[in-house]
Amino acid sequence: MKKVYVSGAGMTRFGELWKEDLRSLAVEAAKSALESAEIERNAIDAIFVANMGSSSLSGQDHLGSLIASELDINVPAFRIEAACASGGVAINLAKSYMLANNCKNVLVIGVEKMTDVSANDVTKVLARAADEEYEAYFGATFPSLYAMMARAYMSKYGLTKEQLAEVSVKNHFHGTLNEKAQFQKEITVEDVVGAPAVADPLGLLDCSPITDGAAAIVLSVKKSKVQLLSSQVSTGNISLQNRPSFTSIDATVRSADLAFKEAGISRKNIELVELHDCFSIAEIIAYEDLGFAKEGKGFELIENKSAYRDGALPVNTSGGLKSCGHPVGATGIKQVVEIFEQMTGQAGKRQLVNDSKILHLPIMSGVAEVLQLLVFLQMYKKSSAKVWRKYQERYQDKGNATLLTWSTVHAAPSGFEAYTPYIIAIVQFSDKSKATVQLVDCNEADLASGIDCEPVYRKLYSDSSEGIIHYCVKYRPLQKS
Amino acid sequence: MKNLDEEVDMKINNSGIVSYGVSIPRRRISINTIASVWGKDGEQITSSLGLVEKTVPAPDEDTISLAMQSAKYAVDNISAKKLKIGAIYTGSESHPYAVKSTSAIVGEALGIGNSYTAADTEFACKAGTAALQMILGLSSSKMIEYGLAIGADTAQSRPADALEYSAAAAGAAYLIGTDPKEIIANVLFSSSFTSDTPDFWRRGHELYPSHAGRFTGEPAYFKHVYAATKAILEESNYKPSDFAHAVFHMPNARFPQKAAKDLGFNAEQLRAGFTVPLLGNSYSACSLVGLAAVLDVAKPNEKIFVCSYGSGSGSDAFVIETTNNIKYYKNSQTVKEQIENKTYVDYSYYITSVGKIKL
Repeated sequence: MKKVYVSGAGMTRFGELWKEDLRSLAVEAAKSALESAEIERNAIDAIFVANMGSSSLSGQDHLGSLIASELDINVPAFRIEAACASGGVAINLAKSYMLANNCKNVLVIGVEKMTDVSANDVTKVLARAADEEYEAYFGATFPSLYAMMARAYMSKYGLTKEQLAEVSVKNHFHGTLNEKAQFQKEITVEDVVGAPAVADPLGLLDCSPITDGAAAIVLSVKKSKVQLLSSQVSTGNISLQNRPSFTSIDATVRSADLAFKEAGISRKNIELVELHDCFSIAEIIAYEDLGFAKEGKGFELIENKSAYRDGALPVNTSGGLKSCGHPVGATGIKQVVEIFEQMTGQAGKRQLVNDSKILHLPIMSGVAEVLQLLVFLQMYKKSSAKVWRKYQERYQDKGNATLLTWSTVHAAPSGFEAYTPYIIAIVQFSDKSKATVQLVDCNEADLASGIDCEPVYRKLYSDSSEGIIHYCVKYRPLQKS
Repeated sequence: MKNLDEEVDMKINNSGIVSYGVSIPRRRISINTIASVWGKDGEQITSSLGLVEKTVPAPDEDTISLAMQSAKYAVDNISAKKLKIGAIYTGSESHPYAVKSTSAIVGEALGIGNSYTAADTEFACKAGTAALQMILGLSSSKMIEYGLAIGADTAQSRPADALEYSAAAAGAAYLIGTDPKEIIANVLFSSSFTSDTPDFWRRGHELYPSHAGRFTGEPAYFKHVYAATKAILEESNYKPSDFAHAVFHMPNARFPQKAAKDLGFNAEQLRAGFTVPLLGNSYSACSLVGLAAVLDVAKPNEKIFVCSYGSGSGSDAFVIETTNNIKYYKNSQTVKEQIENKTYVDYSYYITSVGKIKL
């Protein structure tokens, strides 16, 4: 098989870029990547655009055509959507496309313009990365899903909020060296622990921000300094409730194993990692799922400073999603841009080793866990009939349930503002099946894993003051609150 | 429905209560708390209205959810059997939709299929008992095998208005059937007395009801309650002392106590169903919650008197008699248990939760 190289990479600044729009961001990153690759736009054989939410966030679809038009070329152009994995999946598909079609150069762009809509609307859009039918519909936000993982992890392994905070502290430190990062400011453990709750136990500084930005790379068959040794995509269950574990993402484990196998190298060969720290807990879990730490021991990489830029295995020298920012579709591409710049000695103040001998440093970029998302987006419709389908088929006759893990949602998706804060939980029925539900009539302080809850009918949300009111089954602890 | 000047039969044949369920929100606000916001003497208001506290619906509790929950309890209380429910009527003055059936949403939630008739009623605080009469009519005429009559409300009240101390939320559902083996209480008689009396109303698109102050008493509540009560006692040949229990609509504690006394009922007869001091007035659910509290403790072959009142105005009266089956009936969520299971909220939670502050 032909080898594929990263011949150029570029990105915009990440942040709240009020003067930029979806189009200008994508074009800036693309031109920067073409310049880095030292090729003209006419040398591009195809374009892949990674983006998650432009329909809702920018009112724009058909991104392939949009970007091709802006670059004034008529090559095949595709838009890739796989939530946070959009960028990584776009690179994977671009590589396959190149090899299948004998292309010389393919441009891969990731872009997201997120700040044109309210934070509540962004929260709602991001929740579509989860299972709309089983999770988001009931008010589960993306932070709340990771918060439930965090609660489960903390309970299982004794990780403290202070230890979790160290992840954000590290990534913010790295971000101070990145002139394109959204936040170039150090923070302390006290800052993180004292920050407002987003979805308990995760606070504002445990969460990656809402970011505008774009990143682009050029994949080429002509040999250059950075080779793409392997790219693997794996999918796991889109619903947290249905995953084998709340403290591991099995798709990450599988895709990492496949990538190391394809590349023919071991984890010991890795000298730099960019990984998906959408929430502080995600980085700890990723250490373990990628095989750099044993189960429950991920925090050791932070504690012994291994994951710092001068440590044994630097992780997220860009500042990660937390500090550099997380324009969703751009993130997977940005991770490769960071690796490219480090490997080619263009990382400026962040530069680890200005030595072209580390030519074959593998890329650990965004890991896909949510590919099935497209199917669910197509099913998205607003009708009260589906409310009833939900609980008649799944919950109505299942009776009481046992609480497994939960999170108090403080930053709600649009439509849920009037009910905030509310508690999202995963419960288990006597037949061992699980559901993501809301808990009502209780205080978080009274909750404990294993308590029994009874079903109650409640209002879920209203489309608008003129729209349909949605009802569902929620649960409440049996004992008096 | 009846002209009392004519000879009319108020008897109901072979229909009765098979099961019932009540849904009471867990949150409470004390009368003192509300009074303190408006610079009033809470003790004085508590004493004059006879109210201590009232229920507050959670932000996600509305009339439909309360109706669904009470209906679910009613059906679950006799869960062994697949019911052929042929009708659902839900009375409320706070139906969340101006146009769209609350009752159909309840039916869908219960999963009772599609072969049933449904409609929503409105008659201020007596919409629930009006629904009950309609279900009894369908049932005793054998048009349906089982029917559900529901009263549910999340009652509105203007901030600082006298009604703010009493307007509460709850739901109550009654499953009516005709099988003597299943009936826990036969409904023997029902009468109504209705007139155009503008004592309390709410215009379309208005957030809060208006009322005519003291006019809501003598010419409104008392006139209608007395007329309906006297008519049914006369028709049924019962006298107040025949009843073990009596429930009069409870807009506050004073009105039903005075009505009972004037009509010849005593305090002991009122006691079991006198839920208003700790719950407030849950409007369409109010009399039906009182009846449920009575059924929770009633023994076989006890007669129960119920008289509702709805502003605008009308009263529905019922003569009910428990059967031996009530010995074996268990309400899984008794009114007493739900009254005791409570959490207090402050005024800011209250006004946010009931939508007096729009989010």
